[in-house]
Amino acid sequence: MTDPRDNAALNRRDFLARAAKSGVAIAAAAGIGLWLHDRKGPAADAGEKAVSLPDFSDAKLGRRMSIVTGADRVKTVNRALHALGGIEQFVKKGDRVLLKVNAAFASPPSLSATTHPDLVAAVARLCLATGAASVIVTDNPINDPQSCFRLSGIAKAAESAGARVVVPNEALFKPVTVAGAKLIRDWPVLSEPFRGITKLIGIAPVKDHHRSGASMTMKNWYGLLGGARNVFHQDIHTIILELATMVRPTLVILDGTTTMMTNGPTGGSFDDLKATNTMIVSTDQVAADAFGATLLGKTAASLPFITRAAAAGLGTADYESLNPARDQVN
Amino acid sequence: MVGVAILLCLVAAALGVFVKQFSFNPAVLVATSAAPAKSAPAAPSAAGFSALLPAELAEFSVPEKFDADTLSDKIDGKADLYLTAGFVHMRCQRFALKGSAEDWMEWFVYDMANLPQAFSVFSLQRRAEARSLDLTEFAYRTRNALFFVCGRNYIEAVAAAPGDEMMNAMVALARNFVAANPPGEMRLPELDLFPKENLVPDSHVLQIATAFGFDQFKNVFSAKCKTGDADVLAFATVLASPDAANALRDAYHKFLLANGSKEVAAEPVPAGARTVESFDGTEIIFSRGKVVAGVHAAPNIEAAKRVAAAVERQIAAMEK
Repeated sequence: MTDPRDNAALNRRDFLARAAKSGVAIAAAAGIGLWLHDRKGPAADAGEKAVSLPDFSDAKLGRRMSIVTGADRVKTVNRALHALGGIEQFVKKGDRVLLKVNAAFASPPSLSATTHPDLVAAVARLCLATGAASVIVTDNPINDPQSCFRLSGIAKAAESAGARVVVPNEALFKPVTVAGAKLIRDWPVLSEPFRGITKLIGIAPVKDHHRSGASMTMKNWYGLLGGARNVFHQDIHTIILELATMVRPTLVILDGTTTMMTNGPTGGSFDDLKATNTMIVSTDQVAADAFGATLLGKTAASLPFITRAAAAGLGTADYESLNPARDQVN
Repeated sequence: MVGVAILLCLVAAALGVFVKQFSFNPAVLVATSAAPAKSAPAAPSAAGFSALLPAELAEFSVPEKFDADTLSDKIDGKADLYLTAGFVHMRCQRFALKGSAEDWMEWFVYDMANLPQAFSVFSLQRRAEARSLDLTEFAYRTRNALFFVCGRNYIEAVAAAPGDEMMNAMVALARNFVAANPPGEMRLPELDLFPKENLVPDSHVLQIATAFGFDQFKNVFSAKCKTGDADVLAFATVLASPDAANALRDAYHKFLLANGSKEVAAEPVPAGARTVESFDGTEIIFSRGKVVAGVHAAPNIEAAKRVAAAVERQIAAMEK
């Protein structure tokens, strides 16, 4: 209700005075809001400085790829590397190598949900034989990492080959921001194992994936993320794109010896698997995944994370344009 | 004038908030999180399954329990399949054959809140080479694993390697679980909406949400029907009323057309059905009473019509 005395007292001068006061009040409130506004938002950890991962790719090597068929993954990876000039093209004497494997599940090697231990051991041995000073094997499985590394057979295989397994703990994560990224901003990443590393090799199996359609070399970097990373499943293709932007490996190895065709990424039954007997080695992770898609009976065009990574200039989905070296072993 | 200015400011602020809410910054979650990475099982304590163990099996790990917030810690990208189907929690534990730590298996019990939701995750993951298993109405085994529904629970037992001794032990554990958790009658009446004749065995699937990419399609059952050389996917969902069914039929028809499908100028089968050609094949959608049904991605219009007519006859028979 309006007090009639207000109307009686209100004249033009009062009106303008009140309007001016209101304007000043609004401007002051807006100014204070602007002054208090934190454009950057909260940092991941007040005590941490955001870092970025080094670029491990070697421009001199260019984009190269080999595809070798055969059922014995130790033989096929050796042949695939040989087809690219040998591991010594990528790993030099004194290099400190990090192998990023997929150890996401406490799952036996027979179910192909994780990187096969024979492949981990073979690559670690090759690196050490060519003069690498050290080889580290790591991943962040989130749940019960010790069991994941043990039951997947990766820990035993790595150690038997002379590599060291780094099981994640809280101190190994630092906030990372990817330039221009929508999702990876001040996000905890398993970055400490990269300290002093000179070469990075990603080793992943070919799998169906319920959210992204496929889990291969680019999706494998997901295992570097810490925190409540499950929020990224709602925007899975973007997070894979950003991971491929964040991580520039020396080499990726895509193991299509046994492909998980259905019910990925965990599988669970031998009926989910198919012997596709193919090993892919490439300096171009986009090309490797584009070929891997064919093992799943898909095309690169049907997997948005591949087309988006190619469009972003991270590699080529037209893997044939790399003239991949092809071979087979019995 | 001042009032208008204030209102404009408020509108501008509301617009700012509205726009900003789409600028997802997940790092805020990290900033408010005490532990950015977990190095040990974070799952809450869970009751184990030791009381159900047959003599051949021994515990190989402690039991774990995962809720909707932590399920992806255990099964990564597959969590979404369960979460969209009404997942409540999951308990799991590893067991090994006594005296042989190499022969181990993992036992997963997903509480899906009710039978239809448990059936949904069971049906969506059914393996092509499944072999029937006399355990519950919905159960099968593969070379190294068994999968079944028990009331509101969906259960998986996954062995590290195939073997008769382990399979027998897993089946014994499963029977003990069913005895300890009697499911009662496990009947899904919607499965009867599909004609028995020419039905591909064990092809029933229930999608709880967003069937065929259409967000209004909830609780959609489907099954494959053989016709000629083709398997055609038939579907059906039961609504609250005939009006609701008609509205959903029209909404899906509109959705198909909006996504590039073309209307087919042919006699509708069944009467009143909508028929379109889409990128995937022929789609027929119709309503009868409270049921919306049809065929999805049929290889040709003749096959689509035959199956749609058979489904419509079956629904009519169910009404009697």
